[in-house]
Amino acid sequence: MSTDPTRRNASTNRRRFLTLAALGLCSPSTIAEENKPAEIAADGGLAPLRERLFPKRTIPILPPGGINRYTFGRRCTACALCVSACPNHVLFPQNGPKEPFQPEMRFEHGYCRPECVRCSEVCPSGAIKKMTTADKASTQIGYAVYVRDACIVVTEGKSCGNCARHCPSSAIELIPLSAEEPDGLKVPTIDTDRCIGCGRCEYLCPARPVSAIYVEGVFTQRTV
Amino acid sequence: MVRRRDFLKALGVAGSAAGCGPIRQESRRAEDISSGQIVPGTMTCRKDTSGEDNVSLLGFGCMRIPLRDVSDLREGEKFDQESFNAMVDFALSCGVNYFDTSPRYCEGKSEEIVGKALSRHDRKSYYIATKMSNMAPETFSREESLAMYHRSMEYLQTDYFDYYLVHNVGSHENFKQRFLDNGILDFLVAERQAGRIRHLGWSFHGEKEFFDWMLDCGTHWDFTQIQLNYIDWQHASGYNVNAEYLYGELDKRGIQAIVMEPLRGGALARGNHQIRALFKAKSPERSVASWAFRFAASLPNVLTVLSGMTFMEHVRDNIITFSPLDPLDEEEKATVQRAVEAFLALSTEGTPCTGCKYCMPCPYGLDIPEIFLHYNRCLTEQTLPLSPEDDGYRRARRAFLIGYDRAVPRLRQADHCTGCRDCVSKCPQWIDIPGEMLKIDEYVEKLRAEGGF
Repeated sequence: MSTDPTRRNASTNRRRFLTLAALGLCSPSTIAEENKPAEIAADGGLAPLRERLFPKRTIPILPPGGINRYTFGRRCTACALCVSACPNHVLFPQNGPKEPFQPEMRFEHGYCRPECVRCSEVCPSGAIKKMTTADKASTQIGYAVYVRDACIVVTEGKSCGNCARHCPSSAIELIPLSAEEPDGLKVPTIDTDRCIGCGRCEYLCPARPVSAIYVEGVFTQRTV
Repeated sequence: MVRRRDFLKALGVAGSAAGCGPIRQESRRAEDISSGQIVPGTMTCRKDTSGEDNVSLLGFGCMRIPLRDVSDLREGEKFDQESFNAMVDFALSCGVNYFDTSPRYCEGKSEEIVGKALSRHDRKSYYIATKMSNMAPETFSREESLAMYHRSMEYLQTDYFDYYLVHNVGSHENFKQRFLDNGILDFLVAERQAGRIRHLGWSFHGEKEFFDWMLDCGTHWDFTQIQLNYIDWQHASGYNVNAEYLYGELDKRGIQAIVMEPLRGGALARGNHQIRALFKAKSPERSVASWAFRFAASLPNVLTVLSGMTFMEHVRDNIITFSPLDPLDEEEKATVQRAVEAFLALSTEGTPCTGCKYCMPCPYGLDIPEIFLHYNRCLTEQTLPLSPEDDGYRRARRAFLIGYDRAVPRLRQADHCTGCRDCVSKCPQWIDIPGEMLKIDEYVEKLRAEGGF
């Protein structure tokens, strides 16, 4: 509802953050500032869902089997069959000037399930090569990056570990936030060699508006 | 010749003129129940211990006020005042005179809505029960508590409360911090002396030792509100105390019990196909819910049985059950016992969530009660897909997953639980919410991993 004050805050926050980001003023301290928990009325209702800023990746994530942007760029006809067939809603046509309408991966609505190879089945041009679920589960399409200043363990002092709990390739481990308190709060650390870039951690990270863990694309996909 | 039904109707009208009587022992005929005929003035009522009040055995719980349809949402009006007014008018006309609310219910809107509905009627024609809530620590100071008390009067448009409760207490530390250290209990006792609180009581969710202590703590309690239903009677879940014990202790001390959660958050109104068959075979004209109400109301030391009614159909059905009440006979008690066994056999993994929403809002946006509701419903209906080898597995899997997405938006589902445990201390059923969320999440994830829908 437009009258909800917390929602209004969220959207003004977002605008301010975008302005800051555009000006290149986005330092760790601004992230921590922006990620302050929203005040929620303790009335038994639903908390408003705060908007999330989606990360600007240096390398866009290609569907698994896309290999790299050169091979993929040459073969893909931008037919968008994979986009419409994706049961996890992670493929979107990109609107960049270089490869218009070719797919890229985003994790707003879900993550790229290791056991699903639907896009490789429907791709008519071989841009997404045919693969088995076993191949898929061991193909690295990106790797997770941890943003400590955005993590709720740091900003709110609450225990979480949702990323580690859900990682399908056990690439995230929890380590003590401070070395003096080995039994205290724990924060994630990522084993980049095991990470396949499925995006489950990014999708499930509770930090808003800046996600505390996000996936960066790899230049060339490889088997881990 | 006068037909039997007409004769009974006439009898009912005569009865209403004389006011509500004690429990009527005679049973009604099946056709009177199935015809949905409500005879005015036949609502069973009970006297409170002071003998002043004649309280209807069906109490109107105002924690589950109907919501407006999304398409009909006007600015800030989430709850459906019009429908609620109609339900209250109908209930009052059928003899329901006890209305239970609290500053906490319906996102804090319940008292105001109830006040608007009831103020259209003579103040003497109904009893108001409200509470000093015990959820948000920022309201624990003396000033905030007094403000809460006076706000209740303002919202309910009254200068006295018929029944006032110390809300949701269950442990020494909490009780001391919330009601003793700030002198609020003394204030409430003084208000009772001044006549602005006619009956002072408390509602219980918690430890057995604390319950015993409260009853003998020196404060005189006019009544106590307890969770009682045919499951919790001897098989209370988790840390809850068996209602048989609670009721027995109250009875011993002559303190009247007010029953909450007679349907255990609605679970006993639905039952499952087995339980429905059991009850319907016994008496096809009665609703499944009516058995749970009759179980609670058959206990003589119960002043009123609260039902959080959301729809007019609930109000109608409940009024039929209580106009007048047919207490369970021995044979029917045996049927209830069989239903209890059927419930226990299937709900070992179920979560005893009653949908009270005390845990809400979850800071990370989860819709905890809806998640439990969907899972429990599939569990009790035995439609949970378990093994791919089972007949109809694919269909059950699809139904479960689509139902889950429809009931709870993806970003509010169990996989978003961070395990921060903010909710755990707020749950009156003492459910390990993060643990249960994890279990449901793992189950759902297993289903989803088996391919697209």
